[in-house]
Amino acid sequence: MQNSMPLLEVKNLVKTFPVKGGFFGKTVGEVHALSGVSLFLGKGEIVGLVGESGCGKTTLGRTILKLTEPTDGKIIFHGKNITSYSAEQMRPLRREMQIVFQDPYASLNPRMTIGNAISEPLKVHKIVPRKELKEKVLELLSVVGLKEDAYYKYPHEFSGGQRQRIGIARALSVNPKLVVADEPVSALDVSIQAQIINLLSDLNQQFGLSLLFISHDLKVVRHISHRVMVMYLGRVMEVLDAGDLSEAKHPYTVSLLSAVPVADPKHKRKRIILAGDVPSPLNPPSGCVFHTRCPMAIERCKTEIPLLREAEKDNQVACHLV
Amino acid sequence: MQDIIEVKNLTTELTLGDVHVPVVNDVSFKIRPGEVYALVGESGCGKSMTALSIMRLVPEPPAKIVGGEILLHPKNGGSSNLLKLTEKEMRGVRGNRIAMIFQEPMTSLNPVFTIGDQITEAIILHQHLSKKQALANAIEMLNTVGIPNPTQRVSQYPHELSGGMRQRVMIAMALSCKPELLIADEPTTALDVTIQAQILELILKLVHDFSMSLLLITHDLGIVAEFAKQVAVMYAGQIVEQSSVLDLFANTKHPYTKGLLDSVPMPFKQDGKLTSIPGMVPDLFELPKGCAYQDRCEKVHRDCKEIRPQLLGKNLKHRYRCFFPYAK
Repeated sequence: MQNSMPLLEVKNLVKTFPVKGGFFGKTVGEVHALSGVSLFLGKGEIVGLVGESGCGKTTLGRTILKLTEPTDGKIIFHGKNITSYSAEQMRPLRREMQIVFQDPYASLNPRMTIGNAISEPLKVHKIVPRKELKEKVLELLSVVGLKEDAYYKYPHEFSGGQRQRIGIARALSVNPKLVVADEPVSALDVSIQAQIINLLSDLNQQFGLSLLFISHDLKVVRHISHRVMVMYLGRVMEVLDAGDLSEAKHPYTVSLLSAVPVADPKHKRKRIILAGDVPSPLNPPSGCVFHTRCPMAIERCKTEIPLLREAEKDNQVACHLV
Repeated sequence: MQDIIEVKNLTTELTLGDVHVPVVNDVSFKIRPGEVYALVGESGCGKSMTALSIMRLVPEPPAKIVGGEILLHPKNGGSSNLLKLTEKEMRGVRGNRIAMIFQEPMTSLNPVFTIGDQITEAIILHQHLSKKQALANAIEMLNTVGIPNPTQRVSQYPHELSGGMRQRVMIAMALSCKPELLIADEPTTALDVTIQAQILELILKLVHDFSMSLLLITHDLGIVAEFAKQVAVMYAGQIVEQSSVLDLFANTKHPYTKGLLDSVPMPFKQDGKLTSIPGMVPDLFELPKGCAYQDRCEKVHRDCKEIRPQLLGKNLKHRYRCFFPYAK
């Protein structure tokens, strides 16, 4: 997939947020949300983005969609460099890239029927003639596994899982090429989580939907993705084929994996417990950002930033010791 | 060995208008000294209400404990039924003999008091120590739960600490009076995976060191498998399966338990499609006649729609509420 033209290519993306303080609101510091992140995503591919809170995964998703402006770097979508596109220029592109949010409760307007909520993007982008609007919405509802009577209902009449289906239907309504799903199952119960994961997998297989799947849950990411990208404090630690996760090289990926409780009481293994908390992105550590918690860190890690380089197969890793 | 706590036929009802609905329905379990007992289920299954009922903290109204017994058996004898205690007597139990850790460490700490104030409050109240002694105890507890520089930390406010640190403070507070039973309600759900691992290991170590028992409430079967010894699976207010953890995983009986187990992706096995449970948790106000799980069950039968199954095997170690359990 690396050879064909990727649907999305991100090069050295940097995003800093100013921290205002003092009487006149002077900038007193910078939050380093993304420090040189590169990524490519092929057509029909699902890339999983995993990391702990504050690692920049949500910022990356939002910056790719230009919901926040990047500080530096390049975003190439479908061959077009959209990095400096204005909101006006972005508008026609919006139908090609959509987002599904984490909180299915907050992302639907409580005063809009589901029919209206899903028709809105269809109207804005003039996808279908007005006469066929309802038909198209009903078709979308059936794609995501909701009944027709949902059309006239309001968001409060649905459960969390159903609302997430509505969010997905709304994102799909404009036939996007790319969907960024930001923690789409985190707010849902386990049995419902599986339903939504299966739905996204099906959409990928049936319609070739490309997906950037953002989650903190390594189990879920590994299950749904083709490739997995592990982030820590705004930097990419490792990119690898989802099937290779059990042979991950980077100490952070390894400890993340070992921290996930396994639903099998006979499964015995050594758990690597990372000491301390994730450092503040206001003042990230020098050298390798992970060195303060890394069980294998050496002197070199404190001073020199490890570059992301090719490892086995097409995998990439950023560590001095691998 | 005698059990630390015995919950017998506990029933807690929720009242809306003149409709009464049991949110905790005939729940029974016992916890041995030093044992980790897990209560697992999805949101709305009644697991948190069970915990709040044991603490007698159910919001009343609309909820009310309407039946059953909660017997606390202290090590030095003299059992008491918590449901029969006066509010004043109950205050001597809460935080002292049974302590609780909640899911959200930010909302369960008071933002306008230092963490030292909040930990010493319970110590002064229950152990009648002076403020100075209590503060020394608090510092020692903070040290036990792995908070660096405890002497400085006692004078800090909750917002100055990270999520993991706040949960450590909650644990220090809960353990400050050396309770016999600790109830942890989703203690790590709001935390990152690597912090979750730290906190769970810490709780387990302390449970062992202080020889406490732990009632662990969670939705994560991975946590159950790794940390608990006994387990009860709840659905729509009732226990649907109850056994040792090893048995629950090796010899699953109830279709709901099996459905839950199948919907969790395994981190090391490549698998095709996840098996999901169709539909969703039923509304407790509109529970069907018969088994509460019938609409989502793959083994549903005519009988399931007519008769509500009982928890079978009253004296056996493995009990389940199903007419058509899975064979071994």
